[in-house]
Amino acid sequence: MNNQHIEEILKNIGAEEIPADVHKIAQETSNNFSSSLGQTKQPKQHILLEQIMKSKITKLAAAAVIFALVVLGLFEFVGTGNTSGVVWADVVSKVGASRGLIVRSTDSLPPSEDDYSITYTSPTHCRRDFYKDGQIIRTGYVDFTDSDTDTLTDVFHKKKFCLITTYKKSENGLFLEWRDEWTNPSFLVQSILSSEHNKLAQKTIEGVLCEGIETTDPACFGPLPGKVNNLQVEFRLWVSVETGYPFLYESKMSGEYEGQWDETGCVMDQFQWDVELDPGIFEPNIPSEYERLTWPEIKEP
Amino acid sequence: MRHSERLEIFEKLRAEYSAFLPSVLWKLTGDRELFTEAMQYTLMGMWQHIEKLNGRKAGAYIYRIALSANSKAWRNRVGGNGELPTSRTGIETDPGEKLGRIELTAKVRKAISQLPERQGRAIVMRYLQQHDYETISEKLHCSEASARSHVSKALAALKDKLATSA
Repeated sequence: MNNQHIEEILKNIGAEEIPADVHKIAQETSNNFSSSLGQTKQPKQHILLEQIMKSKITKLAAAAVIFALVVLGLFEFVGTGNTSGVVWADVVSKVGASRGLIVRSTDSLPPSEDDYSITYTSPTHCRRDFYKDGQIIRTGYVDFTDSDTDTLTDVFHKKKFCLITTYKKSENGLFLEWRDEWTNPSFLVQSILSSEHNKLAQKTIEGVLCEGIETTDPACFGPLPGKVNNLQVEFRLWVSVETGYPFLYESKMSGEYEGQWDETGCVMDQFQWDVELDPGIFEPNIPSEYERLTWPEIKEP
Repeated sequence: MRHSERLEIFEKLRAEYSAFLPSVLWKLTGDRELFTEAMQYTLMGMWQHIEKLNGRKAGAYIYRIALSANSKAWRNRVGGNGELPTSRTGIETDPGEKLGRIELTAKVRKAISQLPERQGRAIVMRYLQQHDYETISEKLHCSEASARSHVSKALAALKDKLATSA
């Protein structure tokens, strides 16, 4: 085939009209993608933080709220000289000293593609495995060790690719705040001092005697990352009387943030506290055949 | 950049390129499945790099993102079942010739997806968008002579690739 033949084919391609149904496909694809951005705040294929942090509202209520509620309990029981089964001051101390934590999270809202996730957390790393039908469909790794940046490595097993995203701590304190809340429960004290809370009656959950505390006071968050309208919260933490560690955590939140209504619900259970985690589990395991994408990746033209 | 800001820029670009993207991607793929995939990759790329698309170089970036998305869609297809898309109807001739044309056109499209980025842009601008060399040189930020050279090299590369795949 010579250049003339190739040019002829190229010209024919160039002269082709786009079929009407292709226009429709393009519009639907584009609209669907745009909708997914509005609903989840991230494209569905590259949900960077959605499952780990869900949203700026939710991220305040993940592991941090466990500490917040523990500290709430501390003020309630320590402040009143309560002598119930759970010594909340000890809970605070134990949680703060925990070397590593494994916990299962199940989101009821918004609908997610996974059934549940298992999170492994140390003061310097985090790993989260997302399960669907008993199989890991996605693994997220977060490395907090670098002083300037946080790195999120998201491995998508069904699509066989991974996305490595680096955040500057100076520009995005998302992970930094999260980590600090983990390692510094006193950080939360100031933010919840003015919140209202209730002590719940003792209750046996899955054969374990627990004591709980509950708050519906949005003030427990302290300053929010932006203006949130109609923020409603309902957090309940149950602590094992025997071990003094959190046993079950339930959260519901709703609010309007940046013009977007956000509603979340989550249950965290199957806690394993003070676990010595193998550092190897935090090393991203990316099969060689997986495509690697980094963000940002485009160089200046 | 705030999410709302990112969304705003994305929506603006989505509207601005609503004719360009389907046109170029359809001509590059010629197949509905490939086209959909390339569209999705393009939108994903735009969203991922939205910060870079908020300026005068947006057009050049989107071009690159679209061509890269097309290449990826083709790689997936060829890697998937090893077959080229032949669902399009070609030039109306006798059945044998028509089939040959369709296959040949698909091979040319595949070969375009394998061209180096600058050559790919040159060939798309020249033949698929039917721009003159002056416009191509402006878009590629080069002289007309260089634009002609890019197109010429791209044609030679296509010829080689087609000869290899024959």
